[in-house]
Amino acid sequence: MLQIEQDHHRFRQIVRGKIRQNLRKYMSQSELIGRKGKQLVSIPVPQLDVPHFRYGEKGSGGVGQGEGEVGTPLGPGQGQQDGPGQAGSEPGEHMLEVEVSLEELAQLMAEELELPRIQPKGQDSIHEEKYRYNTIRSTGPESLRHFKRTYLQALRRQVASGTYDPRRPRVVPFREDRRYRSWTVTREPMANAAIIYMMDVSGSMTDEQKRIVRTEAFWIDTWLKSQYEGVQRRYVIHDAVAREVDEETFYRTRESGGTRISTAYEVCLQLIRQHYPPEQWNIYCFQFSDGDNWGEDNRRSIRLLREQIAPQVNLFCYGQVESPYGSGDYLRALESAVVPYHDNVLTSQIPDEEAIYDSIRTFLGKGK
Amino acid sequence: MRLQQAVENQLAPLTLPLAAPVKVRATAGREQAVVELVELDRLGASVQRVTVASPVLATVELESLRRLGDHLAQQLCYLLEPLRVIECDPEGHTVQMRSVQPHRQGQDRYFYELWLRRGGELELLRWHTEPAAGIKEQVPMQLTREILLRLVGDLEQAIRLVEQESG
Repeated sequence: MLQIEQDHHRFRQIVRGKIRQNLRKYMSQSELIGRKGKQLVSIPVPQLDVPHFRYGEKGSGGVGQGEGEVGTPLGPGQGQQDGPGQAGSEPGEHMLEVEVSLEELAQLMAEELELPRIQPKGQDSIHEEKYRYNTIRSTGPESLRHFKRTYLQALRRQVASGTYDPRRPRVVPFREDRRYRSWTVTREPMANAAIIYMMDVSGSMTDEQKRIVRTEAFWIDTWLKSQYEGVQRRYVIHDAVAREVDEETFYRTRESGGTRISTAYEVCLQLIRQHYPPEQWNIYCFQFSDGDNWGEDNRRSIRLLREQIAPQVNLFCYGQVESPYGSGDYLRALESAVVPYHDNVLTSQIPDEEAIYDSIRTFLGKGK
Repeated sequence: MRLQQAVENQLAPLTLPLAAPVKVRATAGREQAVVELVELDRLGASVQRVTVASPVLATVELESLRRLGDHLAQQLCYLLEPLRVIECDPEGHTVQMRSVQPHRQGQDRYFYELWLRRGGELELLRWHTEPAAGIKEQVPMQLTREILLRLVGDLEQAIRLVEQESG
Protein backbone atom coordinates (compact mmCIF):
# COMPACT_ATOMS: atom_id res chain seq x y z
CA MET A 1 0.00 0.00 0.00
CA LEU A 2 1.35 3.43 -0.91
CA GLN A 3 1.83 6.04 1.80
CA ILE A 4 -0.90 8.23 0.29
CA GLU A 5 -3.30 5.28 0.31
CA GLN A 6 -2.52 4.61 3.95
CA ASP A 7 -3.12 8.27 4.77
CA HIS A 8 -6.35 8.28 2.80
CA HIS A 9 -7.51 5.11 4.52
CA ARG A 10 -6.67 6.61 7.90
CA PHE A 11 -8.51 9.80 6.96
CA ARG A 12 -11.62 7.81 5.96
CA GLN A 13 -11.45 5.96 9.28
CA ILE A 14 -11.37 9.25 11.17
CA VAL A 15 -14.24 10.64 9.13
CA ARG A 16 -16.26 7.46 9.68
CA GLY A 17 -15.59 7.75 13.39
CA LYS A 18 -16.78 11.36 13.42
CA ILE A 19 -19.92 10.48 11.50
CA ARG A 20 -20.68 7.56 13.79
CA GLN A 21 -20.12 9.75 16.80
CA ASN A 22 -22.65 12.28 15.51
CA LEU A 23 -25.00 9.87 13.76
CA ARG A 24 -27.89 10.51 16.13
CA LYS A 25 -27.63 14.20 15.31
CA TYR A 26 -27.47 13.59 11.56
CA MET A 27 -30.40 11.23 11.72
CA SER A 28 -32.59 13.89 13.23
CA GLN A 29 -31.62 16.55 10.71
CA SER A 30 -33.84 16.88 7.73
CA GLU A 31 -31.37 19.17 5.93
CA LEU A 32 -29.11 16.21 5.33
CA ILE A 33 -31.60 14.95 2.79
CA GLY A 34 -31.16 18.14 0.82
CA ARG A 35 -27.50 17.23 0.46
CA LYS A 36 -28.34 13.88 -1.08
CA GLY A 37 -27.05 13.19 -4.54
CA LYS A 38 -27.81 10.05 -6.49
CA GLN A 39 -25.21 7.94 -4.75
CA LEU A 40 -23.51 10.27 -2.32
CA VAL A 41 -24.52 12.32 0.66
CA SER A 42 -22.54 15.32 1.71
CA ILE A 43 -22.16 15.41 5.48
CA PRO A 44 -20.74 18.28 7.49
CA VAL A 45 -18.29 16.99 10.09
CA PRO A 46 -16.32 19.07 12.57
CA GLN A 47 -13.06 20.01 10.86
CA LEU A 48 -9.99 18.01 11.71
CA ASP A 49 -7.23 20.28 13.00
CA VAL A 50 -4.13 20.22 10.83
CA PRO A 51 -1.00 21.99 12.19
CA HIS A 52 -0.21 25.14 10.23
CA PHE A 53 1.96 28.28 10.39
CA ARG A 54 0.58 31.41 11.92
CA TYR A 55 2.04 34.72 10.87
CA GLY A 56 2.50 37.60 13.28
CA GLU A 57 1.55 41.16 12.50
CA LYS A 58 3.84 43.00 10.13
CA GLY A 59 6.43 45.28 11.74
CA SER A 60 5.68 44.16 15.27
CA GLY A 61 9.14 42.73 15.83
CA GLY A 62 9.93 39.12 16.56
CA VAL A 63 12.33 36.57 15.14
CA GLY A 64 15.19 37.86 12.95
CA GLN A 65 14.63 41.56 13.55
CA GLY A 66 17.12 44.08 14.98
CA GLU A 67 20.72 43.69 16.01
CA GLY A 68 22.04 40.87 18.10
CA GLU A 69 24.78 38.37 18.71
CA VAL A 70 24.64 34.66 18.39
CA GLY A 71 23.04 33.32 21.55
CA THR A 72 21.13 36.49 22.44
CA PRO A 73 17.72 35.45 23.73
CA LEU A 74 14.78 36.79 21.75
CA GLY A 75 12.52 39.25 23.50
CA PRO A 76 8.79 39.29 23.03
CA GLY A 77 7.42 41.42 20.19
CA GLN A 78 6.12 44.88 20.90
CA GLY A 79 2.54 45.56 21.73
CA GLN A 80 1.77 42.05 22.86
CA GLN A 81 -0.71 42.05 25.68
CA ASP A 82 -3.44 39.79 26.81
CA GLY A 83 -6.74 40.72 25.32
CA PRO A 84 -9.91 40.99 27.36
CA GLY A 85 -11.83 37.86 28.19
CA GLN A 86 -10.75 34.29 28.56
CA ALA A 87 -10.00 31.58 26.09
CA GLY A 88 -13.02 29.47 25.16
CA SER A 89 -13.21 25.88 26.28
CA GLU A 90 -15.28 24.62 23.32
CA PRO A 91 -13.76 23.56 20.01
CA GLY A 92 -14.14 25.99 17.12
CA GLU A 93 -17.02 25.45 14.73
CA HIS A 94 -15.07 24.67 11.59
CA MET A 95 -17.08 22.39 9.42
CA LEU A 96 -15.74 20.12 6.75
CA GLU A 97 -18.03 18.58 4.16
CA VAL A 98 -17.28 14.98 3.33
CA GLU A 99 -19.04 12.88 0.77
CA VAL A 100 -20.20 9.49 1.91
CA SER A 101 -21.82 6.89 -0.30
CA LEU A 102 -25.33 5.83 0.61
CA GLU A 103 -24.06 2.30 1.05
CA GLU A 104 -21.41 3.43 3.51
CA LEU A 105 -23.98 5.51 5.34
CA ALA A 106 -26.28 2.50 5.61
CA GLN A 107 -23.39 0.47 6.98
CA LEU A 108 -22.58 3.14 9.55
CA MET A 109 -26.21 3.27 10.57
CA ALA A 110 -26.33 -0.51 10.88
CA GLU A 111 -23.20 -0.54 13.04
CA GLU A 112 -24.41 2.24 15.25
CA LEU A 113 -27.97 0.96 15.63
CA GLU A 114 -26.80 -2.66 15.69
CA LEU A 115 -29.20 -3.53 12.91
CA PRO A 116 -29.23 -7.18 11.91
CA ARG A 117 -29.02 -8.00 8.22
CA ILE A 118 -32.36 -8.73 6.66
CA GLN A 119 -33.27 -12.31 5.76
CA PRO A 120 -35.14 -11.93 2.49
CA LYS A 121 -37.91 -14.26 1.54
CA GLY A 122 -38.94 -15.40 -1.92
CA GLN A 123 -35.40 -15.71 -3.17
CA ASP A 124 -36.00 -19.03 -4.85
CA SER A 125 -39.11 -18.15 -6.71
CA ILE A 126 -37.88 -15.28 -8.88
CA HIS A 127 -34.88 -15.47 -11.15
CA GLU A 128 -33.25 -12.64 -12.88
CA GLU A 129 -31.26 -12.96 -16.12
CA LYS A 130 -27.90 -11.26 -15.80
CA TYR A 131 -25.62 -10.49 -18.74
CA ARG A 132 -21.89 -10.64 -18.18
CA TYR A 133 -19.35 -9.68 -20.85
CA ASN A 134 -16.85 -12.39 -20.05
CA THR A 135 -16.30 -14.37 -23.30
CA ILE A 136 -14.73 -13.82 -26.72
CA ARG A 137 -16.30 -14.64 -30.09
CA SER A 138 -15.10 -14.42 -33.65
CA THR A 139 -18.16 -12.45 -34.72
CA GLY A 140 -19.77 -9.38 -33.33
CA PRO A 141 -20.27 -5.66 -33.79
CA GLU A 142 -17.20 -3.52 -34.40
CA SER A 143 -17.91 -1.52 -31.29
CA LEU A 144 -17.14 -4.63 -29.23
CA ARG A 145 -13.95 -5.56 -31.06
CA HIS A 146 -11.25 -6.76 -28.67
CA PHE A 147 -8.05 -5.24 -30.12
CA LYS A 148 -5.59 -7.09 -27.94
CA ARG A 149 -7.14 -10.48 -28.67
CA THR A 150 -7.40 -9.62 -32.38
CA TYR A 151 -3.69 -8.79 -32.61
CA LEU A 152 -2.81 -11.83 -30.54
CA GLN A 153 -4.75 -14.03 -32.95
CA ALA A 154 -3.07 -12.37 -35.93
CA LEU A 155 0.35 -12.88 -34.32
CA ARG A 156 -0.45 -16.52 -33.64
CA ARG A 157 -1.48 -17.03 -37.28
CA GLN A 158 1.63 -15.28 -38.63
CA VAL A 159 3.95 -17.31 -36.38
CA ALA A 160 2.21 -20.55 -37.38
CA SER A 161 2.42 -19.72 -41.08
CA GLY A 162 6.05 -18.51 -40.84
CA THR A 163 5.28 -15.01 -42.07
CA TYR A 164 6.26 -13.35 -38.79
CA ASP A 165 9.66 -11.67 -38.85
CA PRO A 166 10.95 -10.78 -35.35
CA ARG A 167 13.34 -8.23 -36.88
CA ARG A 168 10.38 -6.42 -38.46
CA PRO A 169 7.56 -7.22 -36.04
CA ARG A 170 4.59 -6.15 -38.15
CA VAL A 171 1.32 -7.82 -37.30
CA VAL A 172 -1.50 -7.29 -39.75
CA PRO A 173 -4.84 -8.77 -38.66
CA PHE A 174 -7.04 -10.35 -41.32
CA ARG A 175 -10.77 -10.42 -41.14
CA GLU A 176 -10.79 -13.91 -39.59
CA ASP A 177 -8.38 -12.76 -36.83
CA ARG A 178 -10.87 -10.34 -35.43
CA ARG A 179 -12.16 -11.14 -31.97
CA TYR A 180 -15.11 -9.58 -30.20
CA ARG A 181 -16.21 -9.31 -26.65
CA SER A 182 -19.32 -11.33 -25.93
CA TRP A 183 -21.65 -12.13 -23.07
CA THR A 184 -23.01 -15.08 -21.21
CA VAL A 185 -26.40 -15.17 -19.59
CA THR A 186 -26.74 -16.41 -16.05
CA ARG A 187 -29.90 -16.88 -14.08
CA GLU A 188 -29.58 -15.70 -10.53
CA PRO A 189 -32.08 -15.80 -7.72
CA MET A 190 -33.42 -12.35 -6.99
CA ALA A 191 -34.86 -10.89 -3.81
CA ASN A 192 -36.82 -7.77 -4.46
CA ALA A 193 -38.41 -5.46 -2.01
CA ALA A 194 -41.30 -3.07 -2.12
CA ILE A 195 -41.76 -0.32 0.39
CA ILE A 196 -45.20 1.17 0.75
CA TYR A 197 -45.25 4.43 2.66
CA MET A 198 -48.56 5.68 4.01
CA MET A 199 -49.00 9.09 5.51
CA ASP A 200 -51.87 10.91 7.10
CA VAL A 201 -52.05 14.35 5.49
CA SER A 202 -55.24 15.46 7.22
CA GLY A 203 -55.62 18.94 8.64
CA SER A 204 -54.15 18.03 12.00
CA MET A 205 -50.80 16.98 10.51
CA THR A 206 -48.50 19.98 10.33
CA ASP A 207 -45.39 20.60 8.20
CA GLU A 208 -43.24 19.81 11.21
CA GLN A 209 -44.62 16.29 11.39
CA LYS A 210 -44.15 15.79 7.67
CA ARG A 211 -40.51 16.78 8.04
CA ILE A 212 -40.09 14.10 10.69
CA VAL A 213 -41.70 11.53 8.40
CA ARG A 214 -39.48 12.59 5.51
CA THR A 215 -36.31 12.26 7.58
CA GLU A 216 -37.29 8.87 8.91
CA ALA A 217 -38.27 7.64 5.45
CA PHE A 218 -34.86 8.72 4.09
CA TRP A 219 -33.02 6.53 6.59
CA ILE A 220 -35.37 3.61 6.09
CA ASP A 221 -34.84 3.89 2.34
CA THR A 222 -31.09 4.02 2.77
CA TRP A 223 -31.10 0.87 4.84
CA LEU A 224 -33.46 -1.16 2.68
CA LYS A 225 -31.65 -0.15 -0.51
CA SER A 226 -28.44 -1.49 0.99
CA GLN A 227 -30.17 -4.82 1.66
CA TYR A 228 -31.92 -5.37 -1.66
CA GLU A 229 -30.88 -4.74 -5.22
CA GLY A 230 -34.25 -3.63 -6.51
CA VAL A 231 -36.30 -1.59 -4.09
CA GLN A 232 -39.58 -0.24 -5.34
CA ARG A 233 -41.24 2.52 -3.42
CA ARG A 234 -44.90 3.46 -3.45
CA TYR A 235 -46.47 6.37 -1.65
CA VAL A 236 -49.99 6.62 -0.33
CA ILE A 237 -51.50 9.67 1.30
CA HIS A 238 -54.83 9.86 3.01
CA ASP A 239 -57.19 12.07 4.89
CA ALA A 240 -60.75 10.78 4.71
CA VAL A 241 -59.89 9.27 1.32
CA ALA A 242 -56.60 7.78 0.14
CA ARG A 243 -54.70 7.79 -3.11
CA GLU A 244 -51.34 6.78 -4.47
CA VAL A 245 -49.03 9.70 -5.26
CA ASP A 246 -45.44 10.33 -6.29
CA GLU A 247 -42.67 11.02 -3.78
CA GLU A 248 -42.77 14.79 -4.20
CA THR A 249 -46.52 14.98 -3.60
CA PHE A 250 -46.21 12.60 -0.67
CA TYR A 251 -44.11 15.03 1.33
CA ARG A 252 -45.63 18.28 0.20
CA THR A 253 -49.36 17.70 0.23
CA ARG A 254 -51.48 19.04 3.00
CA GLU A 255 -55.18 18.33 2.96
CA SER A 256 -57.91 19.43 5.28
CA GLY A 257 -60.06 16.35 5.18
CA GLY A 258 -60.94 14.10 8.08
CA THR A 259 -58.85 11.12 9.11
CA ARG A 260 -59.73 7.62 7.95
CA ILE A 261 -56.76 5.33 8.15
CA SER A 262 -58.67 2.40 6.68
CA THR A 263 -58.74 4.13 3.28
CA ALA A 264 -54.92 4.05 3.15
CA TYR A 265 -54.95 0.37 4.06
CA GLU A 266 -57.32 -0.34 1.20
CA VAL A 267 -55.01 1.35 -1.31
CA CYS A 268 -52.05 -0.50 0.21
CA LEU A 269 -53.85 -3.83 -0.21
CA GLN A 270 -54.73 -2.96 -3.77
CA LEU A 271 -51.06 -2.27 -4.54
CA ILE A 272 -50.02 -5.58 -2.99
CA ARG A 273 -52.66 -7.48 -4.94
CA GLN A 274 -51.83 -5.86 -8.26
CA HIS A 275 -48.06 -5.52 -8.15
CA TYR A 276 -46.39 -7.38 -5.33
CA PRO A 277 -47.42 -10.99 -4.80
CA PRO A 278 -46.28 -11.64 -1.22
CA GLU A 279 -44.72 -15.01 -2.08
CA GLN A 280 -42.30 -13.27 -4.44
CA TRP A 281 -41.81 -9.89 -2.86
CA ASN A 282 -40.45 -8.66 0.42
CA ILE A 283 -43.03 -6.08 1.36
CA TYR A 284 -42.43 -3.37 3.91
CA CYS A 285 -45.16 -0.98 4.97
CA PHE A 286 -44.45 2.17 6.91
CA GLN A 287 -47.36 4.20 8.12
CA PHE A 288 -47.18 7.60 9.76
CA SER A 289 -50.02 9.46 11.39
CA ASP A 290 -50.78 11.58 14.42
CA GLY A 291 -53.17 8.82 15.39
CA ASP A 292 -56.23 11.02 15.45
CA ASN A 293 -58.32 8.57 13.49
CA TRP A 294 -61.97 9.48 13.42
CA GLY A 295 -63.73 7.34 16.01
CA GLU A 296 -65.59 4.67 14.15
CA ASP A 297 -62.78 4.02 11.65
CA ASN A 298 -60.45 2.41 14.19
CA ARG A 299 -62.34 -0.86 14.13
CA ARG A 300 -62.29 -1.14 10.34
CA SER A 301 -58.62 -0.16 10.11
CA ILE A 302 -57.58 -2.69 12.68
CA ARG A 303 -59.55 -5.45 10.99
CA LEU A 304 -57.87 -4.72 7.64
CA LEU A 305 -54.43 -4.64 9.17
CA ARG A 306 -54.87 -7.70 11.30
CA GLU A 307 -56.61 -9.93 8.78
CA GLN A 308 -55.25 -8.82 5.44
CA ILE A 309 -52.11 -6.71 5.55
CA ALA A 310 -50.08 -8.15 8.42
CA PRO A 311 -50.18 -11.77 7.16
CA GLN A 312 -48.81 -10.70 3.77
CA VAL A 313 -45.94 -8.38 4.59
CA ASN A 314 -42.45 -8.80 6.04
CA LEU A 315 -42.91 -5.84 8.28
CA PHE A 316 -45.61 -3.32 9.08
CA CYS A 317 -44.38 -0.32 10.99
CA TYR A 318 -46.60 2.34 12.43
CA GLY A 319 -44.97 5.56 13.57
CA GLN A 320 -47.13 7.96 15.48
CA VAL A 321 -45.91 11.51 15.28
CA GLU A 322 -47.06 14.05 17.76
CA SER A 323 -49.32 16.85 16.64
CA PRO A 324 -49.83 20.07 18.60
CA TYR A 325 -52.84 18.28 20.08
CA GLY A 326 -50.74 15.45 21.42
CA SER A 327 -51.06 11.95 20.13
CA GLY A 328 -54.22 10.27 19.04
CA ASP A 329 -55.34 6.94 20.35
CA TYR A 330 -54.68 4.84 17.24
CA LEU A 331 -51.32 3.72 18.62
CA ARG A 332 -52.94 2.33 21.72
CA ALA A 333 -55.62 0.64 19.64
CA LEU A 334 -52.94 -1.08 17.53
CA GLU A 335 -50.91 -2.08 20.54
CA SER A 336 -53.85 -3.79 22.15
CA ALA A 337 -55.56 -5.30 19.11
CA VAL A 338 -52.82 -6.12 16.57
CA VAL A 339 -49.31 -6.12 18.03
CA PRO A 340 -49.89 -9.09 20.39
CA TYR A 341 -51.04 -11.25 17.46
CA HIS A 342 -48.47 -10.32 14.79
CA ASP A 343 -44.79 -10.04 15.60
CA ASN A 344 -44.17 -8.30 12.27
CA VAL A 345 -46.29 -5.32 13.32
CA LEU A 346 -44.19 -2.75 15.12
CA THR A 347 -45.12 0.60 16.56
CA SER A 348 -43.19 3.59 17.74
CA GLN A 349 -43.97 7.01 19.05
CA ILE A 350 -42.07 9.89 17.46
CA PRO A 351 -42.69 13.03 19.51
CA ASP A 352 -39.89 14.99 17.84
CA GLU A 353 -36.90 14.71 15.54
CA GLU A 354 -34.75 13.40 18.36
CA ALA A 355 -36.92 10.31 18.52
CA ILE A 356 -36.26 9.31 14.90
CA TYR A 357 -33.11 7.44 15.90
CA ASP A 358 -34.88 5.16 18.35
CA SER A 359 -37.85 4.75 16.08
CA ILE A 360 -35.64 3.45 13.27
CA ARG A 361 -33.96 1.07 15.65
CA THR A 362 -37.38 -0.23 16.67
CA PHE A 363 -38.51 -0.65 13.08
CA LEU A 364 -35.41 -2.14 11.52
CA GLY A 365 -33.91 -3.89 14.49
CA LYS A 366 -35.81 -7.10 13.86
CA GLY A 367 -34.00 -8.09 10.69
CA LYS A 368 -37.22 -9.07 8.93
CA MET B 1 -88.58 31.23 23.63
CA ARG B 2 -84.93 31.01 22.69
CA LEU B 3 -82.82 27.96 23.49
CA GLN B 4 -80.59 30.03 25.76
CA GLN B 5 -83.60 30.94 27.88
CA ALA B 6 -84.82 27.37 27.90
CA VAL B 7 -81.49 26.11 29.25
CA GLU B 8 -81.48 28.83 31.90
CA ASN B 9 -84.94 27.74 32.97
CA GLN B 10 -83.77 24.15 33.31
CA LEU B 11 -80.75 25.14 35.40
CA ALA B 12 -82.71 27.33 37.79
CA PRO B 13 -84.50 24.63 39.82
CA LEU B 14 -81.43 22.41 40.25
CA THR B 15 -80.35 21.91 43.86
CA LEU B 16 -76.82 23.14 44.48
CA PRO B 17 -74.32 21.65 44.73
CA LEU B 18 -75.21 18.75 42.43
CA ALA B 19 -75.24 15.40 44.13
CA ALA B 20 -74.37 13.62 40.88
CA PRO B 21 -73.77 14.54 37.23
CA VAL B 22 -76.93 15.75 35.51
CA LYS B 23 -77.96 15.84 31.88
CA VAL B 24 -79.99 19.00 31.27
CA ARG B 25 -82.24 18.96 28.21
CA ALA B 26 -83.95 22.03 26.86
CA THR B 27 -86.03 22.56 23.75
CA ALA B 28 -86.97 25.74 21.90
CA GLY B 29 -88.86 25.27 18.67
CA ARG B 30 -87.10 22.64 16.62
CA GLU B 31 -83.76 23.05 18.39
CA GLN B 32 -82.71 20.96 21.32
CA ALA B 33 -79.79 21.49 23.69
CA VAL B 34 -78.22 18.90 25.96
CA VAL B 35 -75.79 20.08 28.62
CA GLU B 36 -74.01 17.36 30.58
CA LEU B 37 -73.19 18.90 33.93
CA VAL B 38 -70.60 17.42 36.23
CA GLU B 39 -70.82 20.20 38.78
CA LEU B 40 -72.82 23.39 39.12
CA ASP B 41 -72.83 26.30 41.54
CA ARG B 42 -74.17 29.86 41.58
CA LEU B 43 -71.35 31.16 39.41
CA GLY B 44 -70.15 28.44 37.15
CA ALA B 45 -70.43 24.94 35.83
CA SER B 46 -68.22 22.04 35.05
CA VAL B 47 -69.57 20.74 31.75
CA GLN B 48 -68.68 17.45 30.13
CA ARG B 49 -70.38 18.12 26.81
CA VAL B 50 -72.66 20.63 25.14
CA THR B 51 -74.80 19.51 22.23
CA VAL B 52 -77.22 21.52 20.13
CA ALA B 53 -79.26 19.50 17.65
CA SER B 54 -81.55 20.72 14.93
CA PRO B 55 -83.32 19.20 11.91
CA VAL B 56 -81.89 22.13 9.93
CA LEU B 57 -78.59 20.26 9.91
CA ALA B 58 -80.16 17.05 8.64
CA THR B 59 -79.32 17.61 5.00
CA VAL B 60 -76.76 20.39 5.19
CA GLU B 61 -73.93 20.44 2.63
CA LEU B 62 -70.29 20.28 3.67
CA GLU B 63 -69.64 23.74 2.31
CA SER B 64 -72.37 25.18 4.55
CA LEU B 65 -70.88 23.37 7.52
CA ARG B 66 -67.48 24.83 6.69
CA ARG B 67 -68.95 28.33 6.54
CA LEU B 68 -70.75 27.62 9.80
CA GLY B 69 -67.38 26.65 11.26
CA ASP B 70 -65.78 29.89 10.10
CA HIS B 71 -68.66 31.84 11.61
CA LEU B 72 -68.35 30.04 14.94
CA ALA B 73 -64.59 30.58 14.90
CA GLN B 74 -65.30 34.30 15.07
CA GLN B 75 -68.15 34.08 17.56
CA LEU B 76 -66.70 31.81 20.22
CA CYS B 77 -63.87 34.13 21.23
CA TYR B 78 -64.82 34.02 24.91
CA LEU B 79 -63.52 30.47 25.31
CA LEU B 80 -60.06 32.06 25.39
CA GLU B 81 -58.69 29.48 22.99
CA PRO B 82 -59.56 30.52 19.44
CA LEU B 83 -61.20 27.70 17.50
CA ARG B 84 -60.43 26.95 13.88
CA VAL B 85 -61.65 24.46 11.30
CA ILE B 86 -59.06 21.67 11.31
CA GLU B 87 -60.59 18.88 9.25
CA CYS B 88 -63.58 18.55 6.93
CA ASP B 89 -64.77 15.14 5.89
CA PRO B 90 -66.63 15.18 2.57
CA GLU B 91 -67.63 11.53 2.99
CA GLY B 92 -69.23 11.86 6.38
CA HIS B 93 -70.22 15.55 5.95
CA THR B 94 -68.51 16.47 9.16
CA VAL B 95 -66.36 19.41 10.20
CA GLN B 96 -63.95 19.25 13.11
CA MET B 97 -62.84 22.43 14.86
CA ARG B 98 -60.22 22.68 17.55
CA SER B 99 -58.41 25.25 19.65
CA VAL B 100 -55.78 26.75 17.36
CA GLN B 101 -53.14 26.57 20.02
CA PRO B 102 -53.92 23.99 22.65
CA HIS B 103 -53.36 25.21 26.17
CA ARG B 104 -50.08 23.78 27.48
CA GLN B 105 -49.40 23.16 31.11
CA GLY B 106 -46.07 21.38 31.44
CA GLN B 107 -46.48 18.11 29.57
CA ASP B 108 -50.26 18.41 29.55
CA ARG B 109 -52.28 19.87 26.71
CA TYR B 110 -55.89 20.94 26.79
CA PHE B 111 -58.05 21.89 23.85
CA TYR B 112 -61.64 22.33 22.78
CA GLU B 113 -63.08 20.24 20.00
CA LEU B 114 -66.26 21.27 18.24
CA TRP B 115 -67.92 18.88 15.83
CA LEU B 116 -70.39 20.09 13.22
CA ARG B 117 -72.25 17.13 11.82
CA ARG B 118 -74.77 16.73 9.12
CA GLY B 119 -77.60 14.82 10.53
CA GLY B 120 -77.29 16.93 12.66
CA GLU B 121 -75.80 18.41 15.73
CA LEU B 122 -73.09 20.69 17.02
CA GLU B 123 -71.10 19.16 19.86
CA LEU B 124 -68.48 20.83 22.03
CA LEU B 125 -66.00 18.81 24.08
CA ARG B 126 -62.73 19.40 25.86
CA TRP B 127 -59.75 17.07 25.75
CA HIS B 128 -56.69 16.54 27.86
CA THR B 129 -53.66 14.84 26.36
CA GLU B 130 -50.33 13.94 27.82
CA PRO B 131 -48.37 12.43 24.94
CA ALA B 132 -45.49 11.07 26.98
CA ALA B 133 -47.87 9.04 29.11
CA GLY B 134 -50.12 8.18 26.17
CA ILE B 135 -53.08 9.85 27.80
CA LYS B 136 -55.99 11.24 25.82
CA GLU B 137 -59.11 11.78 27.83
CA GLN B 138 -62.19 13.90 27.74
CA VAL B 139 -62.32 16.40 30.57
CA PRO B 140 -65.02 18.81 31.72
CA MET B 141 -64.99 22.44 30.54
CA GLN B 142 -64.98 25.03 33.27
CA LEU B 143 -67.46 27.72 32.25
CA THR B 144 -69.28 30.45 34.08
CA ARG B 145 -73.06 30.27 33.87
CA GLU B 146 -73.05 33.37 31.72
CA ILE B 147 -70.57 31.86 29.25
CA LEU B 148 -72.44 28.56 29.16
CA LEU B 149 -75.68 30.30 28.25
CA ARG B 150 -73.94 32.52 25.73
CA LEU B 151 -72.41 29.43 24.14
CA VAL B 152 -75.79 27.74 23.77
CA GLY B 153 -77.18 30.98 22.33
CA ASP B 154 -74.35 31.28 19.78
CA LEU B 155 -74.70 27.69 18.65
CA GLU B 156 -78.42 28.19 18.18
CA GLN B 157 -77.78 31.43 16.31
CA ALA B 158 -75.32 29.68 14.00
CA ILE B 159 -77.93 27.07 13.12
CA ARG B 160 -80.37 29.84 12.26
CA LEU B 161 -77.80 31.27 9.87
CA VAL B 162 -77.54 27.92 8.09
CA GLU B 163 -81.34 27.85 7.88
CA GLN B 164 -81.45 31.34 6.35
CA GLU B 165 -78.72 30.43 3.91
CA SER B 166 -80.54 27.36 2.68
CA GLY B 167 -83.69 29.42 2.34
